[in-house]
Amino acid sequence: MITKLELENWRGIKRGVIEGFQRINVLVGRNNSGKSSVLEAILLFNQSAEKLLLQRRPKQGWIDFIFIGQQDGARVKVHTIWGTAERLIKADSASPVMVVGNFSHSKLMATFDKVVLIDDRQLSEPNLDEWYSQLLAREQRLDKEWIRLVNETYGLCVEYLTRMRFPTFPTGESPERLVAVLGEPENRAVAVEWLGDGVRLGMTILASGLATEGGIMLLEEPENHQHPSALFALARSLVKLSQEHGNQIFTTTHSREWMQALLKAATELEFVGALKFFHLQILPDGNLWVRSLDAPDAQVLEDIGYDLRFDYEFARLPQKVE
Amino acid sequence: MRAIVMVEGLSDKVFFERLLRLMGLGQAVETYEYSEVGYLKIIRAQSNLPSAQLILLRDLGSATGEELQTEIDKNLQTLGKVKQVEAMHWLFVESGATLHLIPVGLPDDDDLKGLGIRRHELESHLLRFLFDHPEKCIHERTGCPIAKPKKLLQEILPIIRRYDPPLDSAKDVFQVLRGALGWTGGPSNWIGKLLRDVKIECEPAFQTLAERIKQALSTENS
Repeated sequence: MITKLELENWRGIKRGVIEGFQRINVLVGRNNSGKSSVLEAILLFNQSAEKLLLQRRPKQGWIDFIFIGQQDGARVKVHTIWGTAERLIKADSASPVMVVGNFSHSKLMATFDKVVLIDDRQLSEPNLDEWYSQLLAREQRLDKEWIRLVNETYGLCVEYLTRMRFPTFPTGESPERLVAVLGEPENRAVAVEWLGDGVRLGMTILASGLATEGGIMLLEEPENHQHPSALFALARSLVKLSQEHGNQIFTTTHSREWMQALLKAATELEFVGALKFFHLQILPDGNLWVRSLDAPDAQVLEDIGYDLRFDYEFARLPQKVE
Repeated sequence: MRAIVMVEGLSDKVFFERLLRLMGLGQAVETYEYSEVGYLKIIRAQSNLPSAQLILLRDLGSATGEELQTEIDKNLQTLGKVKQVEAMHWLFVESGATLHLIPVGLPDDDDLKGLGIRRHELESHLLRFLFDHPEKCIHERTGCPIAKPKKLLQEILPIIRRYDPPLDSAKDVFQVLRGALGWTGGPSNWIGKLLRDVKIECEPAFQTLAERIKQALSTENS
């Protein structure tokens, strides 16, 4: 489990330290406050980081990940309960991402191999097929657990998933695709890719959580495409994932409803001590301002109608540098 | 940067929001009601917000200002890393957040004492305002024919006390007067009517509160 993150010259952040991470971490802040940069900094420790990060920001390559004009490159350090790990990025080096420091603990490496970042870019990719294969391939098949969570979250009646040519035409020209077979009262089949964006994004989140059991889930504004009625159910499923499967979750959000849903779900499932909120803001000098709040304190503020997303209005932050 | 004003109940929230707006501080502060969760939990949650300005408005009840201050200080010390920097003013040493305590009530008011009021709340200020401006508050604003609220209370309180003693809180006495005046509806309604077009800072009834709020905000901004 990650407990602390140190950033130096990483994307828009000149310097930042965030500590006290819990199992479920909610990152809030205005646009351009460093939330996504924090997720990407964690993703940097995955062995496929180069592929994953450059897919997200393909324009110029690694130079886009280094704070403007910093010759020394960027440095990201994570502290975990198993030790620390560090990455150094040099834009002009042949091998831009370098490993420095202690990154030898097997548990640490195994955890970072199970880092996954989910955002709504994945709606345009046929990734559910991939997740389905991963869940099927597990020694203990997890596709049934996936279907159970999806049904619970979206009130669906999926009985099973299967790959088949669908829809069936006499000419046999239909493509093979992942199909959800719905039971009572619908009794029909539907291609998974035909499901709504919210359901597909939720399915991706839940599948990735199950497939990376004990790993780290990085969720970029998971509230997107979700109807308010699905938010609480999704929050509940995520809290359960963390509680029962040991995932550490980092979610960015602009949604008060999503924050409320996580608070409610964590309280109901008696996991409130594992939920924490972090308000981020990049100061004019590039340093990262962080204010953390344990869930019980966040609940008190929520109860009186205080909106955590506007914390910065009530704090005295350094003024703009002339 | 805005200050966080914590008030005891719904009437207080409606009143202080209006008072702060009339003082031209509507944008500078945000008012929150703490009756459900307790002020200490809010202060604990906000004490790590860098240089946050917290203002706690607390009914005096039957205590003196000093007694109230001692009680608040004792509770604040349970949070740790807090020190009192001057009267009614504390500093959270790590975050630089501050807390100002503003007692609510008029324990030195002779008219209120004369009516047997021993416990003080926001309603102490409202009663004082009604006593000062019976024509303006009652005739003009509500159309009620009763012109002398103090005299009315002097007459009816002894009778009610025979059945329901001690009737010594400003809140209860104000309820009696509200009933006699036939003021129904929620606080937004009657507080709104009372405070329409009032020059708050010129009113003895609200002067202390207004001065203390301004002082708390100016201390922070200096």
